[in-house]
Amino acid sequence: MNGCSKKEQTALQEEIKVPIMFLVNPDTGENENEKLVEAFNAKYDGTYEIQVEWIIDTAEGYRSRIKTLNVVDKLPAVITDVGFDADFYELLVQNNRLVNLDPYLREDPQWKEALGEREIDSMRESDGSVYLSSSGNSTMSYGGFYYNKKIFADAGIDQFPGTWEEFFSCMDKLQENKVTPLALHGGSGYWTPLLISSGYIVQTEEGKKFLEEQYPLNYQSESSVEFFSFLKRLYSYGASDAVEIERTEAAKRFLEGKEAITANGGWMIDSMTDEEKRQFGFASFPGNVLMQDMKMSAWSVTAGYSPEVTKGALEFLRFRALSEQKQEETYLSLPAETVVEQEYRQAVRQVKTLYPNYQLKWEDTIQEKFLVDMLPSYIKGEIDEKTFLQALTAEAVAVHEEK
Amino acid sequence: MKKDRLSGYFYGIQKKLLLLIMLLIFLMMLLITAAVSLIMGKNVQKDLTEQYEYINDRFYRSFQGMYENLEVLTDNCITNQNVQNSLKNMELSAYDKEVISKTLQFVADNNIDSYLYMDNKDNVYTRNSRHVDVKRLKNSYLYQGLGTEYSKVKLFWEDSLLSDTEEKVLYAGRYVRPIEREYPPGVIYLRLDAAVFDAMTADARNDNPAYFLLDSKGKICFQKYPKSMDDRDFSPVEQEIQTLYGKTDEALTRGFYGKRGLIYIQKHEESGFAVATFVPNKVVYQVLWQTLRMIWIIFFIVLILAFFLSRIVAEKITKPIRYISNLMENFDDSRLNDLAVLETHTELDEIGLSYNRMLGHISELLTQVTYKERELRKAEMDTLLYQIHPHFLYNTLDTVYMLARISREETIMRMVQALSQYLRINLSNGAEKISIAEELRHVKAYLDIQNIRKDNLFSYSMEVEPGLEKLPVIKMILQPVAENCIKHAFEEDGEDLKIWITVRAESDMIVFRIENNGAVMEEKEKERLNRLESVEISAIDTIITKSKGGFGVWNVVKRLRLAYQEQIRFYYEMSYGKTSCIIKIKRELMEADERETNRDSSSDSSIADEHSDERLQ
Repeated sequence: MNGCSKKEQTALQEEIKVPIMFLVNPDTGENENEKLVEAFNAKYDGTYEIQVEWIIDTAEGYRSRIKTLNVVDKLPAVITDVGFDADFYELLVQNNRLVNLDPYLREDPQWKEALGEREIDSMRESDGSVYLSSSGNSTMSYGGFYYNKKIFADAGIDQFPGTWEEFFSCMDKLQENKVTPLALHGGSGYWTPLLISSGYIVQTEEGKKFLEEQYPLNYQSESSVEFFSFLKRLYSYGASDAVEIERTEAAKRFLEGKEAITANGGWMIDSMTDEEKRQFGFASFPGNVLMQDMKMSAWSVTAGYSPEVTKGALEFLRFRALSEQKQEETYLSLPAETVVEQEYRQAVRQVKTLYPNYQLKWEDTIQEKFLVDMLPSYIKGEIDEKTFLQALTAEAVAVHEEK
Repeated sequence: MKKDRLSGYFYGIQKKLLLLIMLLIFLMMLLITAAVSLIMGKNVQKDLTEQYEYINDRFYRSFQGMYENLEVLTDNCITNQNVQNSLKNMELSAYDKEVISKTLQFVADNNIDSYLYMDNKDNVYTRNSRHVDVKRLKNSYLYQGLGTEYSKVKLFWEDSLLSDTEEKVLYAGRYVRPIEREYPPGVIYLRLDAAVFDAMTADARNDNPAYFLLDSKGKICFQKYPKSMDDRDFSPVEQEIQTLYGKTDEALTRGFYGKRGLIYIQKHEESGFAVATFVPNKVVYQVLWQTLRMIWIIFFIVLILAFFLSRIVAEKITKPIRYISNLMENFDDSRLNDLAVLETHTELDEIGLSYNRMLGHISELLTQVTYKERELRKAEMDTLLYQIHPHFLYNTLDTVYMLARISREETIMRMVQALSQYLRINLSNGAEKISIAEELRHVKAYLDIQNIRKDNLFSYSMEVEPGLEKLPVIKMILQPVAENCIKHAFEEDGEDLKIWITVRAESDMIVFRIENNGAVMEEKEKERLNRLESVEISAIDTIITKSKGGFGVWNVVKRLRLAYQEQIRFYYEMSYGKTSCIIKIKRELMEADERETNRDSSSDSSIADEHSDERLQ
């Protein structure tokens, strides 16, 4: 053993495999985490290896898989999108299915700083535990409008409207120019219209409270009425089949220049080609309002693995936070190369109001079942607003009671 | 004594060679056995350890496969929407329960004997709706043993809850957790058919080892022994395996050599169960034993071959040795021409050649010794003769004879004539040997002289077998005997005293007999004289001293033995009042002397001729 160098001894140790499941974008075939995994595996070569199961599925499909894997006790060591489903997150926490990150964060100021004190606290449980580690780069987590510069120019619109009145005038003008103003969708989820509606409602104090309420039981409040009536109004500017199509189809139509405006998070920029990045612009919701929720980008380490694998998984989360923190610094300091990036950064810099993601606040049943079932009828006017909201409230109460 | 007996038993090159080869082969066998046992033992052990590690691994993987199959079966159950609905906070309708029961019917497969599902409201679903005591179930290890696991499949070797038998059966149990949100879990159990064990061991594809399945408490719940294994080993082996189960040594998965064989234990982390494979020593060392047995058989054959071959080889080696040994043992001066003839094409031929060279040297030495001895004898004889060699006596006696003749003194004349005859033959011009006729004349002269002196005291007669007269014999052998006779036998006067002297050929001997009828020789004296022919020549002096008389006889015997290389007889015998002295000489020696004398005579005559030729020139 004397002749055996330290490096050789290390090589003799078995590399610890850390299993993870990541989503591949079904449209582009790319995964935003691929580079991160490669960088981690290169840095920790011989010690840890992130073993990724790349799956092609929708975000909803991915979350469903995670739930199934949990119930059969086969969760990967690191899971993403945990914050998207409050019930599921609660289930995981209640059954000690996640590793409490707080002790590790306390001992690691670098990691803690990368996540941000405020962001950590926003994810802290009542008993002080922290089960989520958000991205160290918050720059791409803001949600706002994307719009087609050429369509706007063709319609004689110089800049994105600064108020909601101007927004609707703008859409009228686009419609007059025979362009579908809004790239909306329905299908298995109503992300885009609900995101825009949230951006609208947050401008009032009541609306903000409504958005920040966890598992609201009353959907018949003034803010809720305003929220859903606004949502219904939006569909008058969408395609005639908007309620039927999925989000991916709506996004495709927008990117192909068939529809003028959509709403999404900053992460959409990554999926754009350079040409698209020059073609599209970004704007905050009127009043310098953007959606941001750090839980959306949060990942967790699952319990039940060996201490070695758990340590590797924690190291991966830390590596992610530190690398993305560096990316954020680089991103903000470098001049933007494309229009959309330039306008996105400007919107982020000028943002006055941030609001949380409704997905993390509302019951899953309401989002995935009730709204999917009922919203088309409401939008099409088949049921009136009162009936719709009564039913929605009843569903929220039933879910609550069932729990 | 024992050592001597052993040495005696193993005397000879052949036996020693045989013993050596046997010992060598035996030693080789021991060393090879030790080496093979050591080297091959290790290698065989290593190979077998790896081989059965692989078999144990197959057994383990079969178990793992069964476990994974149970996972899949229960996964399907858990994720089934109807089953999930049973966990929600709502009362299930009879229809819902029916739907759940029908859903669970599909869980069973070939190895599932029965199932039990109990939701979080204690509703129990079983195949054929068999009644289950929920309280008993909840108090059982089957339920308690699920512990804090979230949803892993756990295996149990417990009393059957789903049948009336008291036999323990294998259960797979698992929590059924809600997918979407937090609810208390349900539990599902699958009872496995015993055939699942046979399927696992069949997957191992090897009938040599014994297979065991141990539950999470370390109890053996399944065992399958090979037919070749002794029933008495079952219990100790099971005890050893259960003891080893408690150890968390990872090396157990790579094989552990226990008292009775090789043991592998591999724990299944998820279920807490363990599979164990036991390979009896009989199987472990089978290859080694077979190899050693083959080596021993080969060695036994080699031993037998070596025995016979060594005998053949030893015979080939020892035969010429024995031949040489025989030559040496029977060697005497008469066999100097018996050369060793060896053609073994080995170093032994050199020994034969050396032996032959040695014979040559001996022959040469003998010739030299004989020559020197003859010279010595001649010198001695000359000395003896010169003791009675007053040459001037001849002239004196001639003068006395002349004077007696002138004085007509017949007696003096006869006496002088006899004396002269006696002395002439005595001297014989220095010749060592004279003819028998001359010898008889010599003794006659002596007897005549004595008769004159003793006043015709005795008479005598002489007789020689015709044809023997010319045979040469050393001179003066009869006179001393006759003198002895007159001196001792005729010491006292008697009547008709007579001496008979005969010379005859008897067989291969020439026999001189001097017989008298005087006083019979005393027995003691006879024995003393008879010893003269057989004692060491140097010891003759000790038997007869000159002062005691008999010097003449001593002289005769000594000269006879020297002249005829001991091939003479000289002895006295008495019969019928007569004392006889018998002298026997090997005839062929006398004949050889005769031939030599003739040769010398012719040589001398030729030399004389040469000299005369020279004078004539």
